[in-house]
Amino acid sequence: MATVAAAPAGRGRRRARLLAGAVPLLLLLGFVFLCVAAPLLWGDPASATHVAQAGQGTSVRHWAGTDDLGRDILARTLVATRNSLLLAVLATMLGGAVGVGLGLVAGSSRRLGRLVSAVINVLLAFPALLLSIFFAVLFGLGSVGSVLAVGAAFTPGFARITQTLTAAVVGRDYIDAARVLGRRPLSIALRHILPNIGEPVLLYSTIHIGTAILSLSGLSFLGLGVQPPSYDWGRLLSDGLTRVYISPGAALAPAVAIVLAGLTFNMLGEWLSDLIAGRESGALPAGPPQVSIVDAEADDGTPGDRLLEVRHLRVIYPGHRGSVATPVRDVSFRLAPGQTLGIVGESGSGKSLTASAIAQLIDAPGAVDAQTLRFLDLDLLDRQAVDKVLGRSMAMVFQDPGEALNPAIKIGTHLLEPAMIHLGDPKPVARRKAYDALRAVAIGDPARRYRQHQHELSGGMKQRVCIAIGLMGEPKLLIADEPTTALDVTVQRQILRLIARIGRDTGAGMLFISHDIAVVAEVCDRVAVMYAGFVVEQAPTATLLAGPAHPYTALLVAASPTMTTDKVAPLPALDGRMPSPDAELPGCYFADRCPRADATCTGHRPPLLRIAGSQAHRVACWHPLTGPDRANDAGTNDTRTNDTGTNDTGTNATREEAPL
Amino acid sequence: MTGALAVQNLTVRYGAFTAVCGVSFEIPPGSVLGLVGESGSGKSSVARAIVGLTPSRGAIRLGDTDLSAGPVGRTRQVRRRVQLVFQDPRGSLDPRLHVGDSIAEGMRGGRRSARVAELLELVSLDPRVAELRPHLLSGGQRQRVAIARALAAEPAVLIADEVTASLDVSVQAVVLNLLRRLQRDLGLTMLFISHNLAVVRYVSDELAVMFHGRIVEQGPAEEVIGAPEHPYTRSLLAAIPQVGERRLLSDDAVEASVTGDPAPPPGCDYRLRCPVGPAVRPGMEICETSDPAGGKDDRLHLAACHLAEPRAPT
Repeated sequence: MATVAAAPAGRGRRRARLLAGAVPLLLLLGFVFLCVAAPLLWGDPASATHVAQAGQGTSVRHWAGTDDLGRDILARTLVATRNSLLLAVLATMLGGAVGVGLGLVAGSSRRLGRLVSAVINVLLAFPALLLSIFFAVLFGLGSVGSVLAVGAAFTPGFARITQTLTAAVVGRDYIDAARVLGRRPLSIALRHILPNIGEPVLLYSTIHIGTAILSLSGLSFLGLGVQPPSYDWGRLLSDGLTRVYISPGAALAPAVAIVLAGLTFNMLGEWLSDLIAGRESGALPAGPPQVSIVDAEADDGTPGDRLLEVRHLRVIYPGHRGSVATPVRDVSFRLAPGQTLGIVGESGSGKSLTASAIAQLIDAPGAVDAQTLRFLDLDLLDRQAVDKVLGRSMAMVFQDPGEALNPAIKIGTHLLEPAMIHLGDPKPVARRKAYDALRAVAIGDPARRYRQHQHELSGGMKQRVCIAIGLMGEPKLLIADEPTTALDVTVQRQILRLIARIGRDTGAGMLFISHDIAVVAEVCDRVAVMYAGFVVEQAPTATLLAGPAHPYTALLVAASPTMTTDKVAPLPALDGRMPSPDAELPGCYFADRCPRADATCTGHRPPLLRIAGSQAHRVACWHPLTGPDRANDAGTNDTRTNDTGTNDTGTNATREEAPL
Repeated sequence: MTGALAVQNLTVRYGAFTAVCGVSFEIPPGSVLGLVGESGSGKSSVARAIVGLTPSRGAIRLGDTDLSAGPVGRTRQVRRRVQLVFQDPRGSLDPRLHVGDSIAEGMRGGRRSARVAELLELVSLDPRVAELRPHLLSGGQRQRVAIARALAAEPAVLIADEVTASLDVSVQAVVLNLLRRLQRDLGLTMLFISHNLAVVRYVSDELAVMFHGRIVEQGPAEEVIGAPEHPYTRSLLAAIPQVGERRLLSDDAVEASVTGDPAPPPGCDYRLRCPVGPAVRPGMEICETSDPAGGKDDRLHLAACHLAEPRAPT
């Protein structure tokens, strides 16, 4: 039994992320300090004129030289930090406030929104700098004018991002719910929309402070911005540039400041967005993987040669911070040719991932581990051997046929591929086969369908096409993963009939996965019930329905109302939820919801064992509903158990039969 | 002022597409109307039109109050008497709000926290849940919070739109039991919408079957299920998988066609798929020339089918 080491989680990545945050934060701290302290510390050298020292180059006394009036340029650059940053922040806030307001209207109001978004579209067509120059002329020269201009130039950008984000949130049901509850549009915007779009808008603002610094400096540089005697970096740059060949320091100092400030806010924004993205992908609690696997018995009670053999299959994904998620914990079953096995389970039970593992569809960082995973004579754990079978001996039908078909490719091309690539058929032969396959899935007029695209077909028709594609490779195993969940009941019946007929006609084995035990019971010879990544019960369909042994199976059978359910009595129900894939429990994973659970169940994992007196009925439960109670074996069953089901002592007399 | 919810000639159009076409029904106070139909049949559009989320034509009345007309501010207050519970509880609760704040949203006046605790207990949740964010709750718990939020507005009518469709089987029963208990205890008038006929049957007193934007059959739940008149209702009933019966594969009464589109007028919408209609049987010209919806009222259970039993003369 191979052990899978926890993938070395991103400790290095985390350090890198921290470091990436430290640089902009330190820089920001420096800028804030300069904003507050620079005018106090260097105010005098920045404003004191010394005509004698005018126009000096770089020297020990004046690192960046002096200007026409002999003022120290470095001191002036440092003092200008306050002005430059303050104006930039003001401009961003102005643009943000107006833009977010307009965006909210555009994104949430039906009639007014169209007008506003047309205006936004027109404004977005012009470069922001051009807009700010235009507005600067409009609003007049000086600090106030330039802040208004840059703010106005930023408005369309803010409005557009807000509109897009708002449109996504407005479609959510909780907005509709608030409307139905009689909330006014303004209250919905403030209470529901703004908090849900706040983070990206804040990030956008942070990055835009950097852009605002550049824009304002640009305006000042052009003489449209801050007017003497006040000055900002742009002004200093403009003054310094005239003498750049004589005294490069005069232009260099403000230029460095502008670039550094721009970079700081950009990096800060990037880092914040990384931080938020990292947080949203979820931090799973840590826990070492300790899956102790109990060996299932060798004989499965299914005579005949093997088509598929699965023993102790596990699917593992590395989680965050060194934890490991195991959505499939221990799955064993065997399938003979022509047989149909149904896998039933609720969302999160690992049923679909089991199918994906068999079809080799688990991609990195996921890992498949098993004692045996054998299809015909092929070891599916050996990646090299696998490519030859896929698409040829093994066919898969998915839940959403619309997702499984490429919208840009014609139905015919989908059908040709398996025959031409895997079987090496020439195109005319493949096309004839494709027509046959379409006829086999009861699609009339195959020549017309062959030329159509998926969007021209109904849901049931698409699923028929998917099944036909599977048939092109002459499969020995058909894996149907919730093939009818997305379909209406009448269409579901047609598809189920089709799948059953195809199984009969081709003699292929079938793995049928569904959350609906009634559907599975309709098509399958045997049923395996999954819970939290384990097979908890496995039996021939009739046996399972007549006498479910696992309390969870009993609930699945009884909980869904049928056409004959007593309308007066409440339904048998069970609240709570399945343990998540990264939970590590020593005992039964159903114990916390199980009405029959006791200390044995929470402390020891029940093995999947044959029920005494029944050849093919197996259950993983210490207190099964049929067959003798097994709790006495709990102490010895921890690690490795052979078929001890028949040796059970029948000491279940005292166990109370908890109602389900 | 609790009266019946009456819908007359409700029509919902999205551009050129007619989602709901002349639907009429009345739900007497304290009773449950179940609405079934396949996806795209217009069930949800009916619900959204009644609560005013979708513009519609036709009359919607609650007792003596007209919900479909009047100034916006006033309708907003009147419409609060009809509340909607949505399909997916993952999307219907604001992820940023605490559960208690979400529930309190529908309340007027003070004493909110006490009322929130009361409502949480009513839906069998621990009042401490009010302090949590929705992502910490399971699907079933979230759906119960959504129900509590709807009840906070003290509605006379509750519309449940596919409320169990996104829940797992084991949790679906919890929500169904709760809805039935609340409906009985609070005397709620309810419109229960689902694609699952077995679930609708369990909850409803009366049953309406929708196909292509119209109600094709309507009557007391037991009667419609026991003696369906419309071939579409029969086809729906025959398509329900029943544990242990294996009838889907053996039964041969399958619809005539696999196409999903309704037939063009004039004539019956369902005639292309109808297992007893002109697609399989000769001599059924009437289905191609005349819309059976006209004679609905003269038939047993309001069935829109030329073949349905006529109502016994009284």
